[in-house]
Amino acid sequence: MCFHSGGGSSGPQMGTVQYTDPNTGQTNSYYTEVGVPGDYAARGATTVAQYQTMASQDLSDKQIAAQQQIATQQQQFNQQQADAQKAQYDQQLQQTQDQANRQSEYDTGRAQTLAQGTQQVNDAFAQFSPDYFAKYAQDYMSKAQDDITYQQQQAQKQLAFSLARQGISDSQAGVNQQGLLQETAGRATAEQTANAQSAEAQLEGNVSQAKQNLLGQVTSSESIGSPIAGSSEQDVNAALNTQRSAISGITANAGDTVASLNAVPAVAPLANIFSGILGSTGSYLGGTNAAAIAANYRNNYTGSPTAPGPSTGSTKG
Amino acid sequence: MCEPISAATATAIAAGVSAATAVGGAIMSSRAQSQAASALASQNQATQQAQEQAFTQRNQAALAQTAGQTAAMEQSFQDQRAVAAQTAASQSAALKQYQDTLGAENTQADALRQAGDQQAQALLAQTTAPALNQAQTGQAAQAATLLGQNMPAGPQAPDPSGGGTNAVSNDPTEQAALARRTAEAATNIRTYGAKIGQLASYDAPTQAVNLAIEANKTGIMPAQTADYLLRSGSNVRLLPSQVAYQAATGEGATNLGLIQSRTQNALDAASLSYGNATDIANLGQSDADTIAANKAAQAKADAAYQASLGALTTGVGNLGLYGAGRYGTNLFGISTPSIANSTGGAGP
Repeated sequence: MCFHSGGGSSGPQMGTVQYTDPNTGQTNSYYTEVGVPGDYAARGATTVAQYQTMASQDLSDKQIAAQQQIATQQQQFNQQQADAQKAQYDQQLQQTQDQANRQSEYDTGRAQTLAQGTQQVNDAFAQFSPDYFAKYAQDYMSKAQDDITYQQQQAQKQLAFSLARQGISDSQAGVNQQGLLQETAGRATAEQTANAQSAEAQLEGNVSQAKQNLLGQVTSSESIGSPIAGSSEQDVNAALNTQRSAISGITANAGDTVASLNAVPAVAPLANIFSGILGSTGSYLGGTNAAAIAANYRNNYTGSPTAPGPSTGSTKG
Repeated sequence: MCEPISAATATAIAAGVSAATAVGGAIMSSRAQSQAASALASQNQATQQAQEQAFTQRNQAALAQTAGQTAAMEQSFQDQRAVAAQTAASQSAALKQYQDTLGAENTQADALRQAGDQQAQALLAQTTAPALNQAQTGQAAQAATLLGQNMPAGPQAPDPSGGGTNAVSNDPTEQAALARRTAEAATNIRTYGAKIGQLASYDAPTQAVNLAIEANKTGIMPAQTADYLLRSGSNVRLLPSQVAYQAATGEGATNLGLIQSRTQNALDAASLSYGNATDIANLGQSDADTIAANKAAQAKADAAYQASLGALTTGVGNLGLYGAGRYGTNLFGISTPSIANSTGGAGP
């Protein structure tokens, strides 16, 4: 019986554990508490508690390393996504900015083309001023007056001859007929003033309408094109050139339109405005002659100078 | 040869040995109790040390966690402020670009509107009541002028050659009469012409209005088309600023997400470190407690064993003393016949 060591073991059970270093291949034996693995014994663990602490520390280190690795990978992935998103934004910005620039260039080009076309039309129609239309009316009157004057001269000659044949050239009746001719010519002239003004108004309206039509064509050709600029600079230039060509064709026609509006005033041919006067004058003078013949007959064959005929209205009294 | 020991001496020796044995057992028991107490004290000390060490480790872990969290959050706030500032600046730039684009378009639109305003003013000016009255009177005046400029000539003086318009006599009386009649005719012509002119002038206001409308249409047409072109491209020109604003907002949100993710990772790492350090500290403390408890239990068991041995020894000693007293010489004058009788030879 042992009086000093007690009834059992008073400390941890110890034993020998071997460990082969995988790097060197060297195998060593370690005297440790039973339960300590060889690799931990090689690292200095002599008790199970030390081994557990070291193992827990190793696990903690691995967990933290794994967490850091996961975090790093997550951060890298997030950064890649952010970079990709930013690249998309940059690309979108660049594309929209380029498109906006092309749109401004396109709109500016169309506006300039429109302004040039408008200016060409305005230049072509610049001659149609108020003075131009007033001169048109005057020209109309001149042409109409030529006809009136011509007829008036013929009528005056016929009247003069008729009066001369009757021998009453210097009579009051002749003067009256002259006045009638004058009035008739004047009234015809007055009526032609209305026609001249009407023609002037019509021409002015036609000019205005023609100008509006041409400008309408110009603006329509600008409006027909795509409202959105093309996807490249070449597309924009091609579209602008197409519209410039269309407008140049229209503005080139402006000269033809203006030329057609520059026609000489067309005056409707006048009828014989003096026929009535000359006819009535002939009747009047015929009657006068008949009365004179009858008076002469009575004077010569009956000797009674009576039945006086109508007065010739001689201004000599 | 030694002289034989007397009974009394033997008894005395036995009694002494027994007493010594009993005392030794008592001492052994006492020592075992002392060892048990010492083992308990050692356990308490080891437990306290383990608790203190673990507390320090946990405290340091908590401090490290706090420091890590603080650093992570400070960095996060700093980064978030930078991102927010960048986002706000980009958004402001986009808004400014939007406003600048609108401003440029409005400037062009104002210029076009001014062209329309001018045409509208011209239209209104040309179609006011005085203007229309003037157009009417002007028409009549123009008719009079045209008539005056084209008034037919009266009978001319006789042409000696007998040609021309020689419808006028050389007779002064005839000429005077003809002059009166011609003047009368001229007056009649002017009167008639005035009436015609007056009648025709009623069309002048309508004509003026129509011309003014046509001129207005023609005048505003280019501006209308330019305005249409301006409007048609407006959305395209505004789109970059809208995209820029959306991009700034999106990039800001993404960067904030990055920061938040990074911050959360740092917080998680700090928490994990704290948790692991705490677990290790707890493990160390638990191991130390267990080892101390085991040692103390072992020591107490050993002490109990020693105490039991002591008690046994004391009992043996006491038994020896009893035997000495019962069967040996009465050293102290105490009569113990029963014992002496029972044991025989050793008694007196």
